[in-house]
Amino acid sequence: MLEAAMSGLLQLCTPYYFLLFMVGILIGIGVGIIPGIGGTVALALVLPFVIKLDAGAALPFLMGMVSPILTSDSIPAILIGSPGSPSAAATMMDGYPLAKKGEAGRALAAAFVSSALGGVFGAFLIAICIPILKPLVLLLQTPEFLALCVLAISAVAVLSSGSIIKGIAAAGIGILLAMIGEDPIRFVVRWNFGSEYLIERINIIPVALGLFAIPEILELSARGTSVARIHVGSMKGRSDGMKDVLKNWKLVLSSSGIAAFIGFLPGLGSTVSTWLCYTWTVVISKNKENFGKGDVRGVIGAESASNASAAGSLIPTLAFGVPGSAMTALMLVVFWAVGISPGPKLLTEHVDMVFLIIWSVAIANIIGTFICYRLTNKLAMVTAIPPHILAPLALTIVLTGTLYSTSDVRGIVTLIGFGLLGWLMKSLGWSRPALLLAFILGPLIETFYFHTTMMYGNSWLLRPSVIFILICACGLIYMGIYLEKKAGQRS
Amino acid sequence: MRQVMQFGFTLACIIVLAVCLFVAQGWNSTTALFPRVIGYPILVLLIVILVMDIVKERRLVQEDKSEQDAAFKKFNLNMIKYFGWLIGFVVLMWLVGIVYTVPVFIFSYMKREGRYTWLASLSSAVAMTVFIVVFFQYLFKVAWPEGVLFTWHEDSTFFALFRLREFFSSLLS
Repeated sequence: MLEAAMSGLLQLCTPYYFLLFMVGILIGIGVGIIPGIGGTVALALVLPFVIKLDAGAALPFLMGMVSPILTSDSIPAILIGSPGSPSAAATMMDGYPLAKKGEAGRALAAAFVSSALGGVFGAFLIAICIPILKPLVLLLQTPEFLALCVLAISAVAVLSSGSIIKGIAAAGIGILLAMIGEDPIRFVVRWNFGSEYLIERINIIPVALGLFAIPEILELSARGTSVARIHVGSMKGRSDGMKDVLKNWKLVLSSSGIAAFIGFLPGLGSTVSTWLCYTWTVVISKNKENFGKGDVRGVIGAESASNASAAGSLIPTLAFGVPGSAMTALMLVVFWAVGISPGPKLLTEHVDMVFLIIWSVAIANIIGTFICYRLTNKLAMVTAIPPHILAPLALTIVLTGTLYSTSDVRGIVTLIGFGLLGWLMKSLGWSRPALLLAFILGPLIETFYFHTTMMYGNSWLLRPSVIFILICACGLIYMGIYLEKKAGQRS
Repeated sequence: MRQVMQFGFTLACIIVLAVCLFVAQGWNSTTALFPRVIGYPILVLLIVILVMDIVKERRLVQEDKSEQDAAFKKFNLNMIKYFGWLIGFVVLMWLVGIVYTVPVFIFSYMKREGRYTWLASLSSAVAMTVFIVVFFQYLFKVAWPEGVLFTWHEDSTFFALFRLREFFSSLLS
């Protein structure tokens, strides 16, 4: 094992492979900053180039590119309130309010460091999980997936920002919006009202950017002030963010662990895991009143989750050849193209390749974070740019990114529609995270429900693991009610 | 104004949801299961929210309301103006394509809203356009959808006239 680990590290250190690895990291950082592109699109674009490389060169390049994307996507989320990917929306919840207070440097540094630690933790988890993967996978079936989705959606109670009734209504609207298009069982088209565009489900990118980015950017213009409403000189810097992460090391570890586990489950993905870990952060923290208003723990909890979840999603791909997301499915294509067949054989006959992947993920996270961290104070200056310069530039990037990800002008119309909805929800005190989370989970719950009832009837409710997860879901709802009562008492 | 917006929003949600649930009447039980199981309770919840807001509105002191309202109204009217810019971007993009829209949008926005100098507005517009073209068109090989003003040309004049005649004859019939 140790020999294979050393062999993997030596392969990565070969000058040509390391050069490609560094190019991948730089591309990854760039891609993460532009809202709407994301890892899947980037991977699809480099695919024709990567499949011509040999395995030793392709894997570091690929992992180098994919790993820092989830680190750099927090940059636009914190600086201009526009999440680089749907999963960064959770980081935005507290990161953007911190930037408004003039603490963008602190928020960015906290995001980068916790993201790197999460990524390294995830890579470490892949290494130690290899022998115990099979029994773990056999333990989890569709009833457990369904129960986990219910657990995730009950997080809405905590994310409702003081009004559970409106939070539940927002979540319900989110699920119903996600049902537009073909149903997953009989493929009957629902609520498309004659539009061809709505036959397929609504793309997540315009939904996330519309709900979060558009209201924030337009609000910037309408208020006529820069993001940070204090003088540039008095901004808090990166060292504070680093100290915050070190102070909250237990939170980093717990969030990374939860996220790696969720990432390991096919279909749930990094967006669900970041929101769940954000909720987890709120639940375990003592003073909860600042969440959503600029609490650095919110940034740490969400960011530790993003990279750990991505690393976790690699486990079923490598060990069984089962991709859990579109991105891991594309990775699988690359693996096959360069002559690697994921599955039990890979874990026994090509352990050095597995370690090459593990090293690439861990080192890419560290280098990516180092680059981003060095740029923190410079990046934080963006929050001092006058609104009528920043707003048109940010709007252009968001609109272009959306047009790129949807390849259809109607994607932009969807963006504006959700922008309007996001603005109304924000100004009237409705929970936008609840809607987004429900929009992501709605189709999963429907699919898992039908699969579960077809295979198990109603007996799935009696499985001990399902009962345990559902009790946790009830605990989250209770926590939401408690938080609402406390907020009511304060006001 | 806040209360009007609140009622309007909740009422709009109720109407849209009611229409959607009415449309769902014709679906088979599997397709309609989740829309109905989620839709009906949410409809009831929205009605409860509407009633709660009406009750809350009656309790508010008139003086407090007018003060809050003035600031809220001013801010939201501003927001509507900026939504106008966004819609303008989309219309222009639909007409001439994104590559021409970006410089026009940035230049006119900075000049009109920020009152920046010609040089500052123009240089920002050019820089952003160069970034969009280099990053997306050259690096990512993106083929943007072309504006209708340019693609209209590609349809032959005869076809355009034919479509026009078809349109008028449908109006007459």
